Amino acid sequence: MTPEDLAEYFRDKLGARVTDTKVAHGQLTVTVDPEALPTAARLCKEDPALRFDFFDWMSGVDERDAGFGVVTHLYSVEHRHHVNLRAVAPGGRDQPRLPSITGVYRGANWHEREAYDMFGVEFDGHPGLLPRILTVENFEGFPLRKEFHLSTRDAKPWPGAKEPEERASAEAGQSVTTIDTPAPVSAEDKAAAAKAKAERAKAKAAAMRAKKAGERAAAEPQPAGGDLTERAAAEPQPAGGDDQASAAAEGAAPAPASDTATMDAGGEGLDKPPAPSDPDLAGAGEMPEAASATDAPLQADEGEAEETRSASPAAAGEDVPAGTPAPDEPMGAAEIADSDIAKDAAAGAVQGDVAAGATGDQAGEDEPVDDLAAETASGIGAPPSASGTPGVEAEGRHGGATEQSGDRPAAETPGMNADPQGRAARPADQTPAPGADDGASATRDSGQAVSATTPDPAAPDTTPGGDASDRPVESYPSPDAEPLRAQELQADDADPPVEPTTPSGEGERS
Amino acid sequence: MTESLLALDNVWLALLLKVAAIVGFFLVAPLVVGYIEHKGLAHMQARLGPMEAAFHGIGQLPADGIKFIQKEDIIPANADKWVFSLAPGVALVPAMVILAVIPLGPGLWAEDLDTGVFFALAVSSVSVIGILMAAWSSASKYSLMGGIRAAAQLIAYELPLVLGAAAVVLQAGTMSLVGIVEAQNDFRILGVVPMWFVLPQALGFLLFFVASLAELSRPPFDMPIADSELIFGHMTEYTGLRYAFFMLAEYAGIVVLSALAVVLFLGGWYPLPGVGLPSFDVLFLPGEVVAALAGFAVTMGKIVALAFVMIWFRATFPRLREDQLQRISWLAFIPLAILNIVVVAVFKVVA
Amino acid sequence: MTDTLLRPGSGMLPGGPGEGMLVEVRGEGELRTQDMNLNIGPQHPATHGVLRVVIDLDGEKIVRATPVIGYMHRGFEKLAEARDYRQIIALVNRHDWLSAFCNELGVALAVERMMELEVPDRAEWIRVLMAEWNRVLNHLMFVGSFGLELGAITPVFFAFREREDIQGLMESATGGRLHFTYTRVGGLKEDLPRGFLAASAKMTRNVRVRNSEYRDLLEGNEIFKARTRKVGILPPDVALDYGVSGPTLHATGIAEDARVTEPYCRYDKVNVHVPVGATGDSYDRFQILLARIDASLDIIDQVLDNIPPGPVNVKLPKIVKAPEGEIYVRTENPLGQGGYYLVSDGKKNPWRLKMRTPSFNNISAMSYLLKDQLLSDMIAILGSVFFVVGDVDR
Repeated sequence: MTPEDLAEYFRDKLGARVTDTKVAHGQLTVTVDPEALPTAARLCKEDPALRFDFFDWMSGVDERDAGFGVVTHLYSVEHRHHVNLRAVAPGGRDQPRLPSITGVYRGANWHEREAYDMFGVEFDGHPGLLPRILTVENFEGFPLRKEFHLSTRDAKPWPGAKEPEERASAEAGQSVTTIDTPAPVSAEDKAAAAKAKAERAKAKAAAMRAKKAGERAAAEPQPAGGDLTERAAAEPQPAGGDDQASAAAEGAAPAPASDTATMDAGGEGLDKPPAPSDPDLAGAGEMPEAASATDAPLQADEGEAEETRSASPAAAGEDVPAGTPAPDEPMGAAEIADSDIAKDAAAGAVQGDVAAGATGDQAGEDEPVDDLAAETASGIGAPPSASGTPGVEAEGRHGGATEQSGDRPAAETPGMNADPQGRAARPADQTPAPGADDGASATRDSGQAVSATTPDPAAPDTTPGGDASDRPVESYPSPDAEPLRAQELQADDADPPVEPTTPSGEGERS
Repeated sequence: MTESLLALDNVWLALLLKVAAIVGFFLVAPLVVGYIEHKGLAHMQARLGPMEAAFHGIGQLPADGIKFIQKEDIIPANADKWVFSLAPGVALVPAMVILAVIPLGPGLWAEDLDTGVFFALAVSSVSVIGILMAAWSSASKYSLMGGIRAAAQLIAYELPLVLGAAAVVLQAGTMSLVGIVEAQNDFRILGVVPMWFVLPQALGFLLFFVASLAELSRPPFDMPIADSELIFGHMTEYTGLRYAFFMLAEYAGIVVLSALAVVLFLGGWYPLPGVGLPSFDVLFLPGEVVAALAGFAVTMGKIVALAFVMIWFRATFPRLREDQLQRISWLAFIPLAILNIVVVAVFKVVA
Repeated sequence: MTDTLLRPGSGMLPGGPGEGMLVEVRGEGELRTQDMNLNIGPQHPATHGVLRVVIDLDGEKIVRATPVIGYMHRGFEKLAEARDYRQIIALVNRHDWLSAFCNELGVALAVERMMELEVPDRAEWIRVLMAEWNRVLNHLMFVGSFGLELGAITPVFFAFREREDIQGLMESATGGRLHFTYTRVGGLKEDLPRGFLAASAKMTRNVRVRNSEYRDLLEGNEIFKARTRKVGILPPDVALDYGVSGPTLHATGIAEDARVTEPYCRYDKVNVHVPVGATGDSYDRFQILLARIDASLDIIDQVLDNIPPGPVNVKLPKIVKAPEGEIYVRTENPLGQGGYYLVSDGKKNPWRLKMRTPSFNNISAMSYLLKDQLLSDMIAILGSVFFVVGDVDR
């Protein structure tokens, strides 16, 4: 039967229990009342005109405020027609429940278990939803819910091509790469750091500009931005799948102000040709708030690291108001994207101040397009170096919007280092720190930098020397990172290691 | 009971030499067979096999032996330590003991017992205990399952083995292995054609050969150590020297049972049916020694040929399920073996 | 006893009290026996990867078997929500890694159908070619490994010899031996290298010859037949109920094949032969495997005769966005029916990408298949229900 005929048939047979039928791309989706799901399933299986004997799959779909929908796809070998049998689980997002259809289709057993595992939809009448089928048995949270934060996008922002509005917010100077766990930093500290950074950045910028002028392709002059912070704060970006980011970001609104400035300052300090890492930056624009909030300390770190290693700290104390980048500098997206860390992130390397200089110097050889315009010309998507597998993925964690990141035990996500120092020590910060687990090294180096700039009790006051800029890009963090790691380990002692590789094991890997 | 070549006047010296010879043969021959297995299997599988150790890999097995010796001695925590430690020995030593009675050439034996066949088959059953000890003491379900399967299989295939040998004893009229070889040399089909026992007792030979495959847990009867199911059966928990002993026991078993088959069915050290060995003086070697060396070479050649067939079977056949192999043994082999004995007895009486 | 296996602390779970002996009293007055509880895997030579099967054994008979999956769960569906379609193509290579191209194809088809994109003719033909080579690659692997698990240690080397040759061919075109990332939305990454078609033709001849060797070595082997005949019979209605597809379903007698019933790419222009079994036992599944290799070679030959010249990709917008809506696209992967249910909200990354993988459904039927079988038969059954753990867990 054609999809339209099928829709008719369903309405005839089930009457009012069919709440919706939709035919799109030649496929029929029948939405039924949740209580009528087993009846509908039985009808599908046994009705001779339908004879949907092949149980294809069942899947949950996160439908935001409407709750969770569960779609069952059935196929008839005999009649060669398909149907999507859909029901929206009542109980909203807290207690989604649906009747199970394992009595009708045996194959639904595992699929319902998966729907439970991924979305938390409970199925009444199912022989046993536990133990969890795909995730670890003691996993907490439901991964495919939209509030389950895939922290990889904090660690490494979107490397692909950007939409226009994303680009704009990216230009607003949002964070580039935030791989490290930011240390708990108060806003005042950040502001002070930002000021200092801005000053140093200015000094450095002047020096670097002349040197790198030639390398810069037509960098899109980003409007300098006293308004950056406003824009950043004013544009909540519901990046795909990262709604939690915006939710969390709102909680951290004050932070971005200084941070973006900081970052801009830091970024402007590096006059490098704009980006292969443009995509990185643009991607960062996707989650400005979250990124910025979480990136705040990191931005400080990056800027710091870059400052300290590329130039002797300029005279601190120049009074630059937070949020005001150097006025006549085209700064923001391009520079920040050009920063070593951004490039390293693009290349998937481990973050840290070891990435000084080298990438920037080599920019343009194997890294294609220089700017967004060139990118457009070249075609689809991001240049290879910035695209592809986005490096180490931090695993998802609980939604930060609904719980304090600090409350979550580290043990929930086996195999991954719980936030070494960031989360537990930042109860006030509602944003879960970005993938702190991406290579302990990242944490090490940035944490280091953090300690250099902010009175972070957890981090020793070690600063990479100015010669770091000469160091080639390494895959391993600097040896200086060790002390910090030890500190992190101490913080982690309270957390039961879930897997044999304890945080210490991870930390000493390199 | 004929005299061995090594029967010197000094009993103790003779004993020492015999023991040394047995141990030497016992340590070297399995290496030869092992090397043939490595290379033969490899070439059958379109690959090369060991190439690095010495010339084309002949140093592979000695190197493996040295490697095993220097490995850490691990005993599972729950294992029964004494039983665990002794099991490889119990599996290994019987193979060595059987070598005492097997003649490898004219005069090349340690002791020619009047009940040689009986002795050999009885001692070979002792190694089953070693397997069971290993399986039980390993404190692992995989090992236990492998051991139980092995016990059942080995018991089941003892009978075709013994009955096949019994038919030979019947035909030769003596249980002494040397006597059996000589009897084969004297045997004439229809009084005219010299032939070893392999032809008139082809069925017996087949049964003996297949049963010895099962006794050794070689494919297609390697269910007890089916490595795709039970990792390695009773040997799963063994490492290092103990594991090497088990491996040595396996290859030594191949050598020993092939040697038994050669002696019982394939004419021992005689090159061809009815053809004797050269026993003239060569250079400084007396005739006896020349004959002994030639006989040894012939015997080793036949042993290697049989071992090669065993290896060939390994490359070719999937393994039988244990209920299938039990069924084959009890329902097919044993009746056939009995039939074989009956036929031989009839012929012995009639002809 | 019924729920013991699923309750935490019953010894089945990591972190639980470990394996125990589940005691079952079988009636009054009878000899008390204990069912042994054996854990096959997750690391085990026979389980094709990290599949774990928890079985209750009564002697050698399996009373109850529960597959435990998730050891290789990588969260592809969540990752896909944070990636654009080109990245997703690179990601889904990793499900069924023995035939990576077929996974990619589904994603590209889904997006193309939603965007109503017209894919160039040549690209479609080449897609068929690549998909069929992947099918041969996949089936060769299982031909080898099935024999290996049953104890035939030789055919696996021969099968891998063929695989090496074919992988060399794939590498010349795509740059990868295992994960190709050759498909793009709207076509392919680039055209085939010169000489590829001739090399393909030669390769089909070689593989055909060798295929007959496998027939002799395995299919005709008495011991092999004894191990696989009547073992693991899957009735067709049970198979459909579980959503089993691919060779496992065809062995039961049902010839449901997406290439035939809903042709995609240029499958409607070639003759697709779908070998079907009679009884649904392991021997049938294996026989079908060999027959499918031959059928794929036939398709490849037809494609080689019919490939037109032309472009292989279209100019896409810089950011590929699927319009709002949902779609389900299914393809016939070597292991069964693979599909992608794409829910898009108009952005460049999907709102939800449900990956329907054949092995997940096939393995869900395992507890039915393994009931009341012997332990040695379990190996024959596991080997004959072809699956890849990456496909099961995603």
